[in-house]
Amino acid sequence: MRSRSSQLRHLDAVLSTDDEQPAQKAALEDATEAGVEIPREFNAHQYLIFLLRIAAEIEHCLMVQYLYAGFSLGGPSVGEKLRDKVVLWQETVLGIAKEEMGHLLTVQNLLRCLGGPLNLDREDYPWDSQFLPFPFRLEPLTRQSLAKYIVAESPEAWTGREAAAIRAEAASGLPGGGVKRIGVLYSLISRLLIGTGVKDSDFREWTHSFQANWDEWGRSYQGGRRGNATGQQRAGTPNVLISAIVSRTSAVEAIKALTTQGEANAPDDEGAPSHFARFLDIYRHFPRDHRHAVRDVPVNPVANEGDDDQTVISHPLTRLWANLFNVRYRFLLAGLLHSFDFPSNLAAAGQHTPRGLLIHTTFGEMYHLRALAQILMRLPLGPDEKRTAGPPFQMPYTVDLPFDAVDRWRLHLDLIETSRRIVDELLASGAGANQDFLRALRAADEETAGLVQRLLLGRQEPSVTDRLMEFH
Amino acid sequence: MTIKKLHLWPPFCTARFGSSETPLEAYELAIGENPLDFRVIQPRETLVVDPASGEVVDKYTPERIRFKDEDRVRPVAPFLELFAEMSDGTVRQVNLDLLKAERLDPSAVKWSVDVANLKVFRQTQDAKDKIEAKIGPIDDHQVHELQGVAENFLPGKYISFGTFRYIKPNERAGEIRARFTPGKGLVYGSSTERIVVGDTRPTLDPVFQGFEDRIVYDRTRGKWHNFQADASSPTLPNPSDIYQGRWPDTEPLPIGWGYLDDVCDGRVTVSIALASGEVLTTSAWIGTCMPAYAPDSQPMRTVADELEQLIMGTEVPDSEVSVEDAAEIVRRALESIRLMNTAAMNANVINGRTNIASTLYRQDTNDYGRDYAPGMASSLVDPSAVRTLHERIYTALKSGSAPWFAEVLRKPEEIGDLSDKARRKMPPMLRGADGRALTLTRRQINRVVRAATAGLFESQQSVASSSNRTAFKSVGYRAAGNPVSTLPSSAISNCFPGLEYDFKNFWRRVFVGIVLLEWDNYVVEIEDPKLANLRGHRLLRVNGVPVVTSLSGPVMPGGGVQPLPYGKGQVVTMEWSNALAFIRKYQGQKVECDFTSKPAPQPTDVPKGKAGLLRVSLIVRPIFERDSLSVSDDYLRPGELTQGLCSPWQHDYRECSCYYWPASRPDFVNATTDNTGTTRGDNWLSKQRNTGQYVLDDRKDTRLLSYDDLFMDWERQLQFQIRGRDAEKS
Repeated sequence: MRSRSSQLRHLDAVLSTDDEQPAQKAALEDATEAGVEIPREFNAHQYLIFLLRIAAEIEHCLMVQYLYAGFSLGGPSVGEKLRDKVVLWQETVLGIAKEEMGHLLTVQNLLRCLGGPLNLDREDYPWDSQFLPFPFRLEPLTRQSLAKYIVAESPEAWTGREAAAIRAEAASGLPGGGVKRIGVLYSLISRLLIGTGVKDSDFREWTHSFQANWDEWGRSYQGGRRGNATGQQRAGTPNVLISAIVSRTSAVEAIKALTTQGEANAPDDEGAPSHFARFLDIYRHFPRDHRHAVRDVPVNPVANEGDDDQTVISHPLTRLWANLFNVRYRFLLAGLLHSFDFPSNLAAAGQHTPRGLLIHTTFGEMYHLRALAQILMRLPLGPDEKRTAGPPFQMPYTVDLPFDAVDRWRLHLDLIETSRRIVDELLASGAGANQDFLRALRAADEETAGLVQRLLLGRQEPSVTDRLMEFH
Repeated sequence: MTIKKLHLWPPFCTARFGSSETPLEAYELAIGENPLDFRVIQPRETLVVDPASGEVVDKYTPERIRFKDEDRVRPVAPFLELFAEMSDGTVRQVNLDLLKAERLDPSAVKWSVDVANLKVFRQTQDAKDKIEAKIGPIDDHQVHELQGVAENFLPGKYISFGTFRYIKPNERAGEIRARFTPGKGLVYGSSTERIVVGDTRPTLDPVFQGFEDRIVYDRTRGKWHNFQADASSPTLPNPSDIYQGRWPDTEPLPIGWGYLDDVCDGRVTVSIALASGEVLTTSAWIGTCMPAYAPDSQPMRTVADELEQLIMGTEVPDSEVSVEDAAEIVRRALESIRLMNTAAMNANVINGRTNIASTLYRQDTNDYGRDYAPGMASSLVDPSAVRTLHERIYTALKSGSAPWFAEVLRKPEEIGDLSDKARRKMPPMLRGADGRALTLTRRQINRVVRAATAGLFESQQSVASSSNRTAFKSVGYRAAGNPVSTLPSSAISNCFPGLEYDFKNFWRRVFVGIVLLEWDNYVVEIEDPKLANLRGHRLLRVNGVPVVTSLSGPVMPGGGVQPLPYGKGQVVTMEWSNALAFIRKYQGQKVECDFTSKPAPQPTDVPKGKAGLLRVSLIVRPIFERDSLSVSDDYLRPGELTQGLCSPWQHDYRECSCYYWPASRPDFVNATTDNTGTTRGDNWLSKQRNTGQYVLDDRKDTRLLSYDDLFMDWERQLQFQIRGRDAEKS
C-alpha cells in the first residue's frame, strides 16, 4: 500500500459538500478576514505544500478519469447521425484531460518552487475522501458522470433550474452527498499565497529552469487541441496552461489561471470556454442512453483480483495487455518525475542534459498509453463477456523515485525489462493485429535501454564522501 | 484485341550520377523485423545488357548492393518499359509477342529524347545559354550519346548528358524497354582561370587542371563567366546564391566562375505505327541528379507525394483512409531525423556558438526581422531525444491507434505565422518550396486528418488495414532491373532549391498565356500577347482563393505577434503545389484570377475591396495527356525541372550548409550517444570520420570538404550511408 497522509484532519474547516456551500462560504469569508487558520501541526509554508500535494492528487485523478471517459466514446454502436458529435465530444474531453495534465504540472512547479516534495501519487479506486470532488471512478461517459464533472468544475455562482437538476443528477448514487467544487481548495491555496505567513524567501526563483514549462510540454497545442484530431473544438478553447513559478506573484497568477480554466470564463476571455462550459455543452446534447455514444466498457477495470466496485479483467490475454498498460503508466510517471531532476537552460548554452530525452520519453508513453487504451477497449473483458475491457490506470506500489541518481536510471531499465517480459508473453500468445505494435514497442524500449545504459556509464555509485559533500 | 493506347513507365524516372562502368543493381526497400530500424535494402533481379548488341544477356539477383567500385560511384541507369492499353481495357507490357500479334516487329517502335540543362539560361535569360540534347526518332539498338549543346558553346564542344539505348528485345527478355545512362556528374567551365576572393588577378582554376577539355563555354560570346545576378530583381531564383564564383563581402551575390554541369531533364517519347497506319505516342519524364546517399531512407515529402496530389486531388476518399498511411508519414519523418543534426537545425547554441548555421530560423530573422530564436525548446532537440519521440509516435500508430497530431501539422496557410507556437508545428526545422517552414502536401495532411477518426467507430482489425490506391500505381512502378532510387518516392520535393528536381518549376505554365515565377506570385513572362499587360503583376487569388498568406511574428523574446520589420507587404506567397492544388479539377477550363492592378515588384497583400485588383479569366493548362501520366507537351519544357538547381550541382552540398534538408542529402552520420545523453556524430561532409566531433557548417570550416573537393573529387569523398553509417554496400 502506498503511503498516505491523513489529510482529513487538517481540512475540516474548508471541506464540505455543495449542499453546505453557504456555511462553507461564510467560513471562508471569516478565514479571509482573519487570515487562513493554519492547523496546529503546520506552519504556513508547510501547510501550503500540504494543500498543493492534495491539489496534485486531485488534478491527477481528474485527468485519469477524463481520459477514461474520453477513450470510452465511440465504438460500432454509435449511429451515423451521432458520429460527428461523438468525435467532437471525444476531442473535447481528451482536450480537457490534457489541460488537467497542464494543471498537474503547474502544481508540481509550485511545489518545486516552494521546496516541497513533488507529488504524482494518487489513490486507486474505489476511493473517496472529503477532499476529492467525487469518489474516484473510472467509468464510461454518461449523463451522470458528466453531471459530476460539471458540478466539480462549476463556478461558485452557478444557480438556476439547470444547475439544481445537474447537481441532483451528479449527487445520485454518490455516497455521502453531492459533488464538491475543486475551486474551494484552490481558493484556500490562493489565500495562503497572498498571506504573510508564507514568506517571500519561500519562493526559490532558481528552480525555474528545473520546472516544467510550456515550451517543452505545450508542443504547439493550443485551444485544448491536444488529442484533437479534426480541429472541431469550440472556438477559443484555452491553451494548455503550464505556468512557471518564480515568485509569489507568479504563483498567485498561476492558481488564478488554473481555476479560471476549470471553472468559468474570465470576463475578458469570453471566447475561451472553461472545463465547466465545455462539459455542460456536451451534457446538453448527450443521449440519455449513453450506449448510443460509448463503448460497452467496465467501471473500474483492474488487472488483478479486486473488490466489489472493481471489475476484474478476466480474459487471460486481455489481462496481459492490462498488465502492460500499468507498467507503461508507471514508466510515464517515473519519466515525468525524473525530468524535474535536470535543468532546461543548459541547452541554451550549448550543453544538453537528459531532460529532453526524459520529456520525449514521457510524451512517448502518453502515446503508448493511448494506443494501449484503444487496444484494451476492443478486447474482451472476460472469456464469455460481450463487454470489452478498459485501461486500468492502476497505480504502482510507489511513484517515489530512488534516492540515488544512478538508481533513478536503473528504475527505467527495470521497467523496460518488466515490459519486455509482458510483451514477449503477448507475442507468444498470439497478438494478432497488434504484433507490429508490440515489436515496435520492444524495439523502442531497446533503443531507450541503450541510451540509459550509456548514461549510466558516466555515473558511478556515490561514495559516502560524495553524499556528505552534497550537504556542504 | 488491339493496342489502343501506350504508356511509358515509370512516367517520372530518375537517373543518378556515377562513373563506374557497372550500373547500380536493382533493389527495393522493405521494413524489417525491427519496425524501427532502417529500411532493409532488398536486392532484386538485375538485367545485364551486352555492350555490343544491346540485348539483355543475363538476369541475376545480387546478394548485396554495392554502391561504389573503388572510388567510382555506380550510376543509376534506369530502364523505361512500354505498356499498352488494349481494346478490352487490360494493360499489357509490350513485348515481342504483343508486337507480333499486332503484325509488327521491334523496329516499329521509335524513340526520341529531348533533354536540356537550363541552369545558365535561368540566370542569364540568354536563349543561347540553353544547353539542349535531342536524339531520334531511333529504332536501332546502338548507344546514342546525348550531346548537350548551346549556341554560346565553343565550336565542337558539348556536355555529355549520358546515353540512351533502345534495348534489343530477345527471347530471354522480349519486353520493349530503353535505358538511360546519365552523365558522370562532371563540372564543365568557361575558363581555365578564375579570380578568388582577395585576388585581383586570375589564377589557374584547379578544377580544370588536366581537364581543359571540359572548357565548353565561350566566354567571349556569352555572359556566364563573371556573371552576377541582380540582387534587386524580383525574378531572381530563390535562393539566389546558387552558382559558384567568388563572393567578396562587399558584393550582394557571387561573381560567377562560369561553371556548368551535366544535370538534365526532359522527355523520352516513344511511338508505334500500328499496322492500321495509326501512330500511337506516349512519353515519360527523365532527369539526372546526384546519387541517393542515404538509400535506406525515404524523404518526408517527395515528388511522388506531389504527383499523387496532382493526380488524385487533395481529398482522401473513405476507401483509402488508413492509419498505416499516417504511420508511413511518421516513419519518413523518423528517417529524416536520424540523418539530421536537429540541435543545429533548431538554431541551438552549439559549443557556445550562436547563429553559425544557415537554418530555417535564421532565415525567419534574415528575411523578415523576426526575433532570432531557436524553433523548438532548445532542451528537447538533441537528435537521440527527438528520435526517441518519433519512434514512440510511430509505435503507437502501429497499434492502429488513430493519429492525434493532425492539429499540429502545419497548414499551408500558416507559413507566414512566425510565432513560437506556429513554428513548432510539424514538421519543424525544414524548409518548403516557398522558403518558409515545410508543410506536407494537403493530401498528406488530409490523410492524417481522416485517419484520426477512422478507427473511432470500427473494430480493431479494420482500422489497421492498408489502403489500395491502384489508380496511382504507375508512379511507383519500378521497372525490371531498376533500383528504387529511380522512383519519385526517392526524390525530395520540398525543394529549396532542391536536390533531384526543383519541382516548384512544375507550376510555372499552369495558366495559358502567362508564366509565373517558380517561387513567387510574380508574372515573369507573357506567352499570349493579349495578356501583355500582366507582365510584372502579382497573382493574388484564383477563384477567390488567396495564394498569399499574412506574415507576423514577435520581434523580441516573449513578445507579442505583430507585423515584421522587413516583411514587405506583410505577406508570403505559398508554394504553388499546395496553393494551386485545387485547380487540377479546372484543367482546360477558365478560372477567375485576381492580379494586382499595377506591376508590383514587391509582395503585396490582397486588397480589402475590388480597388487595386485586376480580374482576368485564364484557362488552366491541362497538365497531363488524357488518361495518362505523360506531361502535356506545352506544360513543361525540357530542362525546366532542374533549372533552379545549383550550378554545378555539388555547389548545393556546401552552399546551403544543409540545415533544412530532409533525408536524401545526409547531414548527421556515424552518430552515437555519449554518457551525458548527448548525441555525437560526424557532419557528412567531414574529412575525418568517427571523431565524435560534429563540425558545424559555416561554409568556411576547413575540416569539411571544400567546394573544390566536391567539384574535383566528389565520387571519392562523399560516403554512402547505410544504417546511418559510412558504407559502400548494403
